[in-house]
Amino acid sequence: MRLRRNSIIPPIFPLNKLISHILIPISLMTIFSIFIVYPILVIIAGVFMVDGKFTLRNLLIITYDPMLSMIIINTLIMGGLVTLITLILAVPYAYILNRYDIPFKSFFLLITLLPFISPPYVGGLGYINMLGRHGVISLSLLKLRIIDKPLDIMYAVTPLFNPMTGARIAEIHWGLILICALTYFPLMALTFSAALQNVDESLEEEAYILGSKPLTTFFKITLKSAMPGLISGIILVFISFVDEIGIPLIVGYRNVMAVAAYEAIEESSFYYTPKGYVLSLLMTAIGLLILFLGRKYVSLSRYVSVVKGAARYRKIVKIRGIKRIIVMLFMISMSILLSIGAIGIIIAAFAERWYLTPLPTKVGLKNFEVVFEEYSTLFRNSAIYSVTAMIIGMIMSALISYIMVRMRLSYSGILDYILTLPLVVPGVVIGIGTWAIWRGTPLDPFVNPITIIALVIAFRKLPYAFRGIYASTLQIPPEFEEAALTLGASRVRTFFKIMLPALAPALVAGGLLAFIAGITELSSTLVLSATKSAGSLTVGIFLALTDIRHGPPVGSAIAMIIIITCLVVSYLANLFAKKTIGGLRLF
Amino acid sequence: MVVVKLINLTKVFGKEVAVDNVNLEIEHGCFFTLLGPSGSGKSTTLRMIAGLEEPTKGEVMFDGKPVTHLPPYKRGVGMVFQNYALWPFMTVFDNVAFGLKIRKLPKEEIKKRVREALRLVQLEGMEKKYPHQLSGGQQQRVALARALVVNPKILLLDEPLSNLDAKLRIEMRREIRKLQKSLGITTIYVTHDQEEALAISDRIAVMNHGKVIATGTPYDVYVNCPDEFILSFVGHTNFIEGKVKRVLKDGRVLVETPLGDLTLMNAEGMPKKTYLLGFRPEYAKLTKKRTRPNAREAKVVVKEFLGKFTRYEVKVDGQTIVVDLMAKDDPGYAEGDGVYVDVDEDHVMVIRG
Repeated sequence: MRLRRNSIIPPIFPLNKLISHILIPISLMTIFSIFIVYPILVIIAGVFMVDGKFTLRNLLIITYDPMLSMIIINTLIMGGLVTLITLILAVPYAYILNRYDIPFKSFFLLITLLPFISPPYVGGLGYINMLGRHGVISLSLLKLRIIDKPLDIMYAVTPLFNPMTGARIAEIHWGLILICALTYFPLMALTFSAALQNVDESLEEEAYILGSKPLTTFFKITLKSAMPGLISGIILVFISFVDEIGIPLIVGYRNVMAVAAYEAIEESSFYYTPKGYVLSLLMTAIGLLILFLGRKYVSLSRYVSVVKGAARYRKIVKIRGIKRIIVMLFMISMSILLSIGAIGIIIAAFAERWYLTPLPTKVGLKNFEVVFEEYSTLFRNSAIYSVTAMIIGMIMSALISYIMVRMRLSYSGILDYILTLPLVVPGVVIGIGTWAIWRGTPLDPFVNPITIIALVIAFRKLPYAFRGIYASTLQIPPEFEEAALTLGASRVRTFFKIMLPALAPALVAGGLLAFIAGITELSSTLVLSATKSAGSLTVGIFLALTDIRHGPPVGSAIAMIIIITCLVVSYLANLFAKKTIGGLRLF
Repeated sequence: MVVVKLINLTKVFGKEVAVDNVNLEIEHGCFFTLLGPSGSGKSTTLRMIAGLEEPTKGEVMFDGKPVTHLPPYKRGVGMVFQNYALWPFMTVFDNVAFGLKIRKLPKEEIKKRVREALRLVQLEGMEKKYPHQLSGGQQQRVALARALVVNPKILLLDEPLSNLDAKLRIEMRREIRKLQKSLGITTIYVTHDQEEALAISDRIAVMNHGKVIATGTPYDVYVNCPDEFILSFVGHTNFIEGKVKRVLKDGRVLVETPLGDLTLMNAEGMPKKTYLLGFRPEYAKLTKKRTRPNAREAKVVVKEFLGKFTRYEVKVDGQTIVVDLMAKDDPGYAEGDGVYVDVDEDHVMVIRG
């Protein structure tokens, strides 16, 4: 009985059923697919179809272009290393934060959130400001004569050779790995932390009672129970690295897939090159393969169960003595590592004169003035993109959640699959595909980039709004609507009078999350239009860095503006999330 | 006058038949209860009457007109849900006023009728509170007021008391019964609690596995219904096997059972040799001495003191028999004591051969 209750609003007449069960869901998914699925299909067609004929010729370039195969191997190896490092750091970090009695907990949590709400390569910019050759730390150490050459850790490259032929087959760029690992750290820490909170405490207690030691219990019980969260964290981090375009551009390393695809497509506006398409196809394949393998863990519904189930009372373990010192040392060094980026941004943003000295010699608000004078269009663009992402995110999520939760659709599994795509298909791919689709139409990215960018961002960031709204919809008892129906309200009225008000806090929270996701988006926007007239604030950082007059200080000022906006918005989002039915928590 | 009529009503979910060919007639002003264990199809039947589930087969008729394919909002029923389904984002007033606002009544009348409905359920002055500020019992009353305020033809109640504590449950069921009688509204009530069903209903339909097994007054269902399922679901019944030894001169039969030889009325056509017999726990005594020929000794295995009476479970012939002894009849046996079960022959039912 219970199970069935969560079903449907019957009875439905054949015509109404056609509309509600087929027409509305299909048209919603069609709109979504135009911006997410269609670009992928265009990429596939672009690789395999030349002059209207099927061919494998384009794929063969991997075999005779050693540069291309190196780029692919680089991405996979470094992606793996980044994932491994975040895993090693995030697991103890999240465990300590959740289970141990330590001071300054909310401070540590805030530090964890910081990179999460920053645009992707803001971290990179900050780390370069601090750890780069001419960064604060390198120059300080030089001045103190601790080192005699500028610090090189951000640019160190280790080549890997084929032992048989001696040919260079891959490179490991340590700076890229370091920055990415720290940038994605929150992704792993927060997903694992949410999973930890869902682990049934009695399982661990039972193990202790049966004589299992703490470390054994952690590996055999806790880690195993939190595995779904951990795997979804691994997937998200790896995919983020494959999609990463900002950080490699900042450290000046181009031999990774997303950057190579982006550059290939920039060139191909002048002459045809299949390289960009092949790279995009491979990135999509990696994403889809991971989605397929980790399907159980990244499905939106699973994602949701990781996100919810928060404010439960937990026993906090008290630690003393040497153990406490070790734990605190770890937490403090992690938070220093995590905040270096933000500190670098702040120093640079206020630097008016800063040339080869450890710290700026003159500080002021000049960089911000430059931003407001020369980059003012970016504010308008970012506002358009984020607000569109918010509105489309709210409307689509409300409708799709309602359909998935309330109607017995035979194909809701497919809907879930399609909706998960934006999480695993790199933005560069979507950008390139979209670019190919709309060339020569009224929405040509060359002519009218703002509309198309706004729509692409909105649909790519839909999962961010969707997951919370979907979770909340699941929590709303169907009796809420049934009561209204028996009292004489039609189905449509019931949706507007009962369902929407019940969902309102979740809708606002989800909308704000889509707003943040929209404002920090980079990859697809960069592909579609890297200009001041259509670019977002994140693109603005890139433009400032490539502009010889502005450079890192102005870029940092833009980054700071984004971070502050995101901090405020995420604070608001959390306020609303607390009011949702079932008390959903966002992070 | 028949208000609700169900004809061959059937609901299939996938492969599972939830409601199987149910036929019922519910008279005007009747307090009618669908009683059954969970999964018996009682809630699904109620939801089909409300229009919240579409029948796979069969008809639902209100006042002689088919409403089977009418959506819930065109049926004019009032419904109270197990979880009350009060909208948390609306005040008590707005919750109750919802149905009236949908009907576009003038503001003044809405105010008047909401006040009236809240008075009826004794919640005057609670208009501005939100559901979460109310106790469970008060929420229940708001749900009732919300269902009644639109003057429904039929009131449907889906396990409305199951979330309340025992004492409040009894209080509320009396109130619901009183309210129903004073309004004269035809009511269909769903519950799995047999005591509640017996206390509150004019008529009861007992359901199991999607089928209606019996319909009747509470007395009929409890006393005059020799059906194995009903006997064990509504109250407790001991089942024993009896072998017919011979027919007596007065037409009664002598039956041999583990509890001794019993002289029973000869139910029409008792030609078979063995029968399944049943009796309620309150229709037996426990004695130290053998009172019936051929009675086998029983052993007390469980003793539960339940206040008004003591419930004994005794084992006889490998079979468990439950006997309730009122305090005045209870000599106070201990677990492990050897006793004899002396059953009241007048209350032994012949269930089947």
